[in-house]
Amino acid sequence: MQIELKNISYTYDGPIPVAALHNINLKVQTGEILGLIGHTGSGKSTLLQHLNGLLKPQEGDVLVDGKSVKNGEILLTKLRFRVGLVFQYPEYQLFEETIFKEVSFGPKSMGLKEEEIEKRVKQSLLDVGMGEEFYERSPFELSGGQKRRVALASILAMEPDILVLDEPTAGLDPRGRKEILDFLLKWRTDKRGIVLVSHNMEEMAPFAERIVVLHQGSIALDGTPEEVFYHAKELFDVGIKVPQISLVVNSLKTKGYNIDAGIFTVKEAAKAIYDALKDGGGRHGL
Amino acid sequence: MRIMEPIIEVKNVYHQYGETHALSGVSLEIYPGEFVAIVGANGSGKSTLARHLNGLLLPSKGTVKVKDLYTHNAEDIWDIRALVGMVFQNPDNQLVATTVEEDVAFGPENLGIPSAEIRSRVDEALEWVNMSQHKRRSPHQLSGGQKQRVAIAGILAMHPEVLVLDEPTAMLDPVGRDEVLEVINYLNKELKMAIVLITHHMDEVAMAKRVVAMGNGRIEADCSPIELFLKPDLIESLGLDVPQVFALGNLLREYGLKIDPAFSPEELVNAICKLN
Repeated sequence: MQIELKNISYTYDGPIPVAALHNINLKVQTGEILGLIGHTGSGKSTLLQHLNGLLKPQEGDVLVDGKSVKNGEILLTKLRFRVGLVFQYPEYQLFEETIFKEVSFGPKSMGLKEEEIEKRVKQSLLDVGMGEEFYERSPFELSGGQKRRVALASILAMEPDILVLDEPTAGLDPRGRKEILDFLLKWRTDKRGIVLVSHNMEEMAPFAERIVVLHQGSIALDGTPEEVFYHAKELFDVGIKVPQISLVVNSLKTKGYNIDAGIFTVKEAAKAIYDALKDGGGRHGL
Repeated sequence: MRIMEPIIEVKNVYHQYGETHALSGVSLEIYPGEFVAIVGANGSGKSTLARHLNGLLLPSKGTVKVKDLYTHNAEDIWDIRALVGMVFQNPDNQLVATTVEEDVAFGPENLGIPSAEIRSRVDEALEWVNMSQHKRRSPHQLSGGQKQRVAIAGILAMHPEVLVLDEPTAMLDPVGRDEVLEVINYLNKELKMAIVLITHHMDEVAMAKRVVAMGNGRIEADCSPIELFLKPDLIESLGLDVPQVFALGNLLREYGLKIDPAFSPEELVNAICKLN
């Protein structure tokens, strides 16, 4: 599946109209993990809502596998099932009496058969690490991290092709963050894609394969994490911080050490720095 | 031995929610002017502990003493809350008035302070959090970081001696987060206010002089941030994280390189360059 935003511009009406997006061209597809970053007010939410048809294009068009949303070639309701949107703090939107009912809500609204609904609910709860013992419990009794996983399962049960997540790890402790990201890596296949919005660059850099930076409603940068985080100064100017490890690696590189700029994890960085010092491949060697 | 008396003295406190033991024998002293970070995984008891510091929760067993007042004495509770101010995660739940300055005045008004004095306290508190220029605006027009700074000002206007902040930056974007952290630092450094910062962000811990790490309702470590992050096994078992730059330094030391612990990229890069 491929979603193409073509010359998308969007302005919110009101006493003072607010331009949210300006001439956006972007392709999102299955098989890929796309990271979307931008300051609050950069237009991220507006862009996300175009991906799953929550907003209809005002100017430009959204093409889903070549079919136009504007011309009604694809139904918005259909698009919403294929692109699952997990909002920020989704646990605030839980409302059912039991966890099983909560997760059934999505597949039910798709008009699936009882049997299929049950199968999907069980599978998606299992995927997020919640067994049978949770089915009849109230979602409101759960811890913050568990609620977050129920909210995620309720989207997964619709079996979307592309999962769009807005700050899925915000407010979680380090273990909870890792659980969510590890799950997402496992969930993604050739036939499934992920769009992740995060303010946490340390988290984003090793996770995303491609990063798009949004600034004042336009795409400022689009490339691999290595390419994007090389632009430390430009990023800083638009209110984005380069991952800490990149700062170390790039600074050493500038000082003449032989280190790959595309390193974002602590382990890889330690090895690369050690090698650069040991081999004398760096400026001085050991 | 410290010469100063603690402002807050938590003594062997237990707390139970139904069947859950949220705190199991916690003892902790907070001293004037200190900056203490409290860390722990979800469910470790850190927020429960924070809520004991000003009597929002009362111990099932044990005592919490603030100066010479006890939280279990109902008649002391309002004096305690004036001494120990609390700021929470979600600024939207903490703002009540239609303008910023009215919001900040709400706390001192409830303390029955004369209005001329309230005026000066509001102005001063807004100055401290760098929000004076927004005092006539509606809180709803503000960014998350600005709202949180107004919430902090509302507490400061009550002239507390300790400020307890429970994940004050969790819902903010990076800009808002920096604004709030800058204010917290200012209050501690310039106004010598004691700070207790509960956080999931390990890089915020580096700002503190002392860190208390919790697990399963107990204090598992009470030391400097450097000492804590030099114990990766403990960190792992508590479900925490080492800040990335510091963790990189730890690994390089494991490789046998002689590098001092560092939190900032600049410090670490300098340490690496000095190796030759």
